Amino acid sequence: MFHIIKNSSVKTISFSTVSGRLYRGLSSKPNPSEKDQQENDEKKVKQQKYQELEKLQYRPLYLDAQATTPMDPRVLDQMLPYMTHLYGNPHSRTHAFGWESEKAIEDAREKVAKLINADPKEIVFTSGATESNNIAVKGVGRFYKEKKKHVITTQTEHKCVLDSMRVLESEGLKVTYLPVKTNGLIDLKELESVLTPETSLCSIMMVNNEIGVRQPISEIGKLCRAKKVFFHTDAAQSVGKLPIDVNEMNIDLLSISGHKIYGPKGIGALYIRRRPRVRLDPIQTGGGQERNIRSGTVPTPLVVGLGAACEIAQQEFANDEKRVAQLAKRLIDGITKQCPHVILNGDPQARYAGCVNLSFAYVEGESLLMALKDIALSSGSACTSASLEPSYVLRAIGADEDIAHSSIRFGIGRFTTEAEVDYTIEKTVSHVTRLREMSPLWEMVQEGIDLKTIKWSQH
Amino acid sequence: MNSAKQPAIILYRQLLRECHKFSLYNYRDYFLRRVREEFHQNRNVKDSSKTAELLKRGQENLEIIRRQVIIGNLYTPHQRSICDNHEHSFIASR
Repeated sequence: MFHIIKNSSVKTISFSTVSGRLYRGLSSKPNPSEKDQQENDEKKVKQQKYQELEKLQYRPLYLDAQATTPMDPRVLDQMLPYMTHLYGNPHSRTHAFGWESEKAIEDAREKVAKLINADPKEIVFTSGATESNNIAVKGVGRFYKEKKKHVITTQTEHKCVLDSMRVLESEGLKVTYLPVKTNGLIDLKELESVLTPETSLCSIMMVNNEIGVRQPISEIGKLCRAKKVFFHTDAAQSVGKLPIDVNEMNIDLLSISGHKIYGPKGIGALYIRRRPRVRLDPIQTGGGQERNIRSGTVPTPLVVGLGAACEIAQQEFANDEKRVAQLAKRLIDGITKQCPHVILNGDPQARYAGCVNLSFAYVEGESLLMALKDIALSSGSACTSASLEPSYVLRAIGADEDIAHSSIRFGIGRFTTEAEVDYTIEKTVSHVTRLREMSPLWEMVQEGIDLKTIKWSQH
Repeated sequence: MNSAKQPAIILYRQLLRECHKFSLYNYRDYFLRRVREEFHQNRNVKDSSKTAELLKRGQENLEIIRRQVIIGNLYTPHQRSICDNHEHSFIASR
């Protein structure tokens, strides 16, 4: 299974090679005793975590807005009636309980659509961006697979897109994993060279969840439209934070997540263009709700919450944007002023300001995270934060192993305060300095030794 | 102080007083800041229909904040936030 497209500088690699690297942990099948050992270890780690939780004196401050965001009180306020008195099934046709719930979800649909300048009929509610991505990628890939057997994505996508691609691959489709440049952005020329008449779908995320870089969505959309390829974008990290217009940007499918925009968890939406119509095979079948695309009773309170979150995001857009940019600048300036050898991962201009991924050279990321226990941070995405492996996103942008190992993601959101940022700067700087003083590598750098020239002996 | 401004000032004070009651400091900080920004931004609005609309929106938000303060305070965790502690010691030292 090795496909190469003619006249292309980009290698189209089958999943067995790329994903073998990306999914080392998932694809290996451990033998029974190893499995037991693994389970035991997991249990121990869990117990340790819970014990630590009991010992906690203060709640840490929250700086992980890419993992999830606290719910806006205004959102909860709109949801609560639907969790108490207004409990009707929105699909009940025969009584007032159903009607009032139906009205609520249709109002919410309108609010979601308005935020991305779509028609309400083009919005389908799902359980979250993961489900939206699954429906978009697998659905479109499968529907058109008789005539078009090729799909495109990038190496820095979220796991749920990459995994869906892997499923398509096992069903006989060709998948191209576009590499990214060292700034995290894709090369449009490379994309153009891999778009063929055989291609049915191109899935590229708007803002990366780990490094916050912002892909040139309008240009990609234009390119895909010209080549008659459906363009799907995972906008979980960017809806409500960046201006999005699905018509102007030529987006055909777009995934939205509720809990990244101060809404409830367990709800998301998928935008599916009607003109030109995008057709797809549903994954979940049943009662035929949501235009047969996503069967299952629509959860009224969560949908109302998503609608409210979208409405507030639209109202507060300018204020949030200004505030987040200001705090991000404060954080970056504050740290880099007092700390040398700090690298901002990803393109410095084309990015969402609220996601600041910094690498502290000569400091081990894990030890820094352990030291910064009173600040809720992560080294990358929450989905992969259990493993000690450096993130595949950082590896894809060509970061050296040591840089990838020393990265920390700071997530700034609507409810982040100046005091929190200042506290984070102070703690980060002091711990980085302390850890570096303990490091022999740092000592060598201070003496002017270039670490790259050293030949380490093999153990 | 003219009489036209009176309702706005009353509402402003009510909003600030209520925002102070949020037990989660992130919410407290955010809503205090937003209330101040919003009133500052609209302080020169003269059009009476516009002021009526703004006052109505403010009143609605006051109701929301009142309800949410009550709900939030029902489920306050045992530990205080590290930043809350920081803030208090900062205020105490002044």
